[in-house]
Amino acid sequence: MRVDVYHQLHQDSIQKNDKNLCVFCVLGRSRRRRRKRRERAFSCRFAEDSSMDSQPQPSGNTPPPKPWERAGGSTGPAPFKPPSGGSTTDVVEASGTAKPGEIVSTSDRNTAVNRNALSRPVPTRPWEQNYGTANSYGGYNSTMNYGSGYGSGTYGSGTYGSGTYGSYGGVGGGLYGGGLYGSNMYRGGYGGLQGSSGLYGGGMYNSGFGGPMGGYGMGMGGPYGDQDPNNPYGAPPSPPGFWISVLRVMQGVVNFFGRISILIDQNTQAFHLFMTALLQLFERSGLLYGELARFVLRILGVRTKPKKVRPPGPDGLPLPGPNNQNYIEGPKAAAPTGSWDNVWGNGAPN
Amino acid sequence: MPVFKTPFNGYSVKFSPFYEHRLAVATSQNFGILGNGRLHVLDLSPSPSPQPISQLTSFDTADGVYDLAWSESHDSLLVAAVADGSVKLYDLALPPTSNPIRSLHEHSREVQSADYNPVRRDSFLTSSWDDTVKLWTTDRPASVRTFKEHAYCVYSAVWNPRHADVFASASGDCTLRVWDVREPGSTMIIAAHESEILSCDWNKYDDCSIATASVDKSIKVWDVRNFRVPVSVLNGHGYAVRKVKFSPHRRSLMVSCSYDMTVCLWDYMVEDALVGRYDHHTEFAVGVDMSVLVEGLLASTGWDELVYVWQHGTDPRAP
Repeated sequence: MRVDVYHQLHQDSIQKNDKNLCVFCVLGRSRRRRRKRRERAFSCRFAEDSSMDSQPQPSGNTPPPKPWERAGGSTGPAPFKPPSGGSTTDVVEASGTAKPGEIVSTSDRNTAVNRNALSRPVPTRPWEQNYGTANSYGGYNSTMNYGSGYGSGTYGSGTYGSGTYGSYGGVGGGLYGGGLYGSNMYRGGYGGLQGSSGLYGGGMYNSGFGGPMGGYGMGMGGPYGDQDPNNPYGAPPSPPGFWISVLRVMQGVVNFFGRISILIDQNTQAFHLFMTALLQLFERSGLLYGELARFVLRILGVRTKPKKVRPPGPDGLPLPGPNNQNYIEGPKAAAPTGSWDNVWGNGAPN
Repeated sequence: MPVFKTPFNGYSVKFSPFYEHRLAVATSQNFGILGNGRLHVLDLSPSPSPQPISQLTSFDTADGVYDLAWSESHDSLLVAAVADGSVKLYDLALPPTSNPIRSLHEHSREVQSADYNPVRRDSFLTSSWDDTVKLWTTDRPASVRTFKEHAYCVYSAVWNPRHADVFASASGDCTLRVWDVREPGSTMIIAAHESEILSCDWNKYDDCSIATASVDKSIKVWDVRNFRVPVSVLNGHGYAVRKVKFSPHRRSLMVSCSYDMTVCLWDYMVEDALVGRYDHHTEFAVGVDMSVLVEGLLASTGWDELVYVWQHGTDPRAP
């Protein structure tokens, strides 16, 4: 940020803060220091004018004394150097160890590992696990942040027109479909990744695409559903273990959506067309195979009975996913409340 | 006693050092895995009322908030540790539209903890999954110093309550390190557990005593002058212990919370160290705090999206 921005921050802070104090300028609590600070008119680097008339608050910047401050000291001599006077910045700079704004890169971190005194093996970082194909998905690895990575990298950039929330819709649809929020989060919860409409896709953030995308998440949770990776009652429970399992599942989701995201980045309309075509293809082929099967059975002399109409899903909408065979094998007219067109979302426009 | 429902999963709760009725809660959507975050500032009503906890304000973030720290120098200043690697400063005196007053982007991965210097009151520490601890001051737009020695995520960095220059950090590399901000490297390396260490805290009444909480379900108390063996090993949690905190009022009292969904109170100096167990949470209990201003007042939060505030000895769920 530029200096004038900080100056503005300083001004804003003084103006808007009812205590008439810039929060950036607050240094210590002792009266002496406060007076000293007033004398030098704050060390706030954002104050353009050194005669800024900010007055320190009598009580606003000093908390009540801590209970342990009234008690005695330690049980013996402490192995610490005696404290230095002055502000933290001064102390660190005087010691020559200051390195303002240092950003630690991955290579730096490896060096740090090498000079580590302990040679105990450390667990693999969840985000550094190699799943074979991980590097081919830029949306995931290039951002190195699966949290906001979906928002900014893969699904963001205004594709859904609703900023952050819309951007989570797509992934959320796949990841959280049914499973995580199911009745039993710990046991086999991730099996729920197979199909079902997404939580966010269902209109929570009005992301019309979420639902069908959740539907296409089917099968990805498959290999992990049985392993029950998030079971804290089994093997030694640990957060990295949990993260690893979560990320492993997410990797599957990302692997799939990473491919589609190429289209999203290009053009929303292209994505829409792609999905529509895909759905239509399934529908047509479903019809085709249904007819074919009936034809074959009829040749074989088997009479096919019309299938029972399945009840509609929540909100009266048809349920997408593999369980709803009615749509694959039956004719369109048998759909209880509508055609495939409505699957795009809960009332979201096509 | 008061209960507050947050829309997201709780991650951390801390009492204000200035007002006995105020606390802040850090929450993350979808268990902190993916989604947004929110920082709540809550007020307890002084007298019995239909709404014992009310929300003073809240701040939304684009990623989960894993931890927070109240400023010791200004009653309305809050530091938030955000999962996108940023450290954000909020001023409650300003409207939400003017917040955050600062967003510091230096950590390359999730920031797991934040702690404000209680002695010098002008600086704070953040620890991150990028294996580093950073020292910040409120008058600088960049970190003053970065401490990189840990070989794995640093889950917690806590100032010594009596030495303005000394702090400790707990990491997934199974070590606890003690640092002096004037020294180039750590001054002590304690191989405290065989598993990852998730939390540490200094004894407020003994500046040489520190507790560590680990994935191996145990809490250990160490004396930094003789750290070959722990002073005490506390077993009783069923799963990884997520946070440990020394009482601000009693020398040997500690509170801890765990993935076994309980909050436990310990007196590490007596034989039966487990002096209290609360099982009010229905999901992982990940945040706990003891009020500095009201003795015995506890607060906890967890993935069940609930914040409980209660007096030790009473039932947190009691209306």
